Amino acid sequence: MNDLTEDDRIAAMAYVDGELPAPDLAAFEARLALEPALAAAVARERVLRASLAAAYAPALDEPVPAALLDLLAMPAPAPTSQAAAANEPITVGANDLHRAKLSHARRWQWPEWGAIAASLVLGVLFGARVLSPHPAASGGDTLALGVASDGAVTAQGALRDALEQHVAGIVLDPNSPVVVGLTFRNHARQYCRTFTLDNASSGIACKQSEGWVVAALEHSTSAPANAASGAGAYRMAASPFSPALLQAIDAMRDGDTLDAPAEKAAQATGWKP
Amino acid sequence: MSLSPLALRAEIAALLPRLRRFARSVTRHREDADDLVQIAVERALRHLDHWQDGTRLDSWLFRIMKNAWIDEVRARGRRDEVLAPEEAGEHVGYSETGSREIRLSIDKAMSRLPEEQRLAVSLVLVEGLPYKEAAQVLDIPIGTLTSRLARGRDALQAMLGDGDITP
Repeated sequence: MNDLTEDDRIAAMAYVDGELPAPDLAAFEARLALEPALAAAVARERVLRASLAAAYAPALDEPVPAALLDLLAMPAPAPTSQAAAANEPITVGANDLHRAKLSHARRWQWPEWGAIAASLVLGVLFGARVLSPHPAASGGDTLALGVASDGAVTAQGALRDALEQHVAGIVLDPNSPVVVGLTFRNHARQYCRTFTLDNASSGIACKQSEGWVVAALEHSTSAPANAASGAGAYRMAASPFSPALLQAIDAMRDGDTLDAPAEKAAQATGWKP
Repeated sequence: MSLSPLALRAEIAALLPRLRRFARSVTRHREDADDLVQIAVERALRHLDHWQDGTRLDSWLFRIMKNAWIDEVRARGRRDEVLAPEEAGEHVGYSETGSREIRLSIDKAMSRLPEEQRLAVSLVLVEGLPYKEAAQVLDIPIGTLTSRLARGRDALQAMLGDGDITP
């Protein structure tokens, strides 16, 4: 099994890691066809690499403990509203910043989710929320996402309310961290709306049977800095969306964006396709 | 330089899942892992100005974590270092019943590697860092990194055996 030279074993390892220098690549691959011991070493390294990656991948799916997110938060007086039941939406609130040490008892209070994609999206959202430049403005309200059994991320709390209620430029809750932008129908004739959270994240959600499913979400790193230096009012730039998000809108859109009367009419039907 | 402290905080928040994964593979213990991430994030926040624009933020954070972990291992000394492997195994995350056995054995095998080999294996095989980045994180030449990787992998292969890791 170990009849390979040290150099060959390191080469097999580097090959699997994508680190073999380009000039050596062709010669190494030619040898693989001729030397079963070398090919076997490469196969073993591949299995090991895949096994290690798989073994630790579930750690990415776990919700990040509140205490860790708190470290990255801005000072915020609002109390935490915590999700209790396993299927409660994840509630992102402001926690106290003065926990010196992680409290082990609190560690796993949040439900665990399946989808890696969901946790990445939530990670971005948590980042946006904890960075709210004016957390007090939103008080104790909750800005939340839930994850359905199929891994779809649905809007909850303030985000869901805004998507449901804000039409024709009318904002029911002036303290809402959510600004709803355009409304359009996608190719499945579902209603989709763009939104901005805390001036820091932008996305698209489409109304489906299970609620407003978040179809795209991105974090804007420049907005918080602008907002922090601003007077506190939500700043509506000409376009709050990145080129990537605008492209996503264009790709999803079937027909024009809705005008104010059309938004009201759609809302009256419960945003049903 | 170009990223404001606020934006950097957001970037770090987005990296938290990966920092936790790295910590889990290095410490082999869920609670140690989150403590390590906390310590590293606190250090990073105190020294945000040390991060150089244009370098990888994840590597910078891994480096802080590595240093914090080495400090911790030294502080604990030999006595505490023997975390029961069974206990460590229990804390490894898994979601599919089918892969549970594999994960337990991998975690046990990882826990028996010397610290320096486990760090190299974690950075390259779990986190997928290029050799150059991993060597910088560990403050070692690339040749040293590859030899630690090779020894760590050989040891893992020997402990896991072909049977245990057949996909």
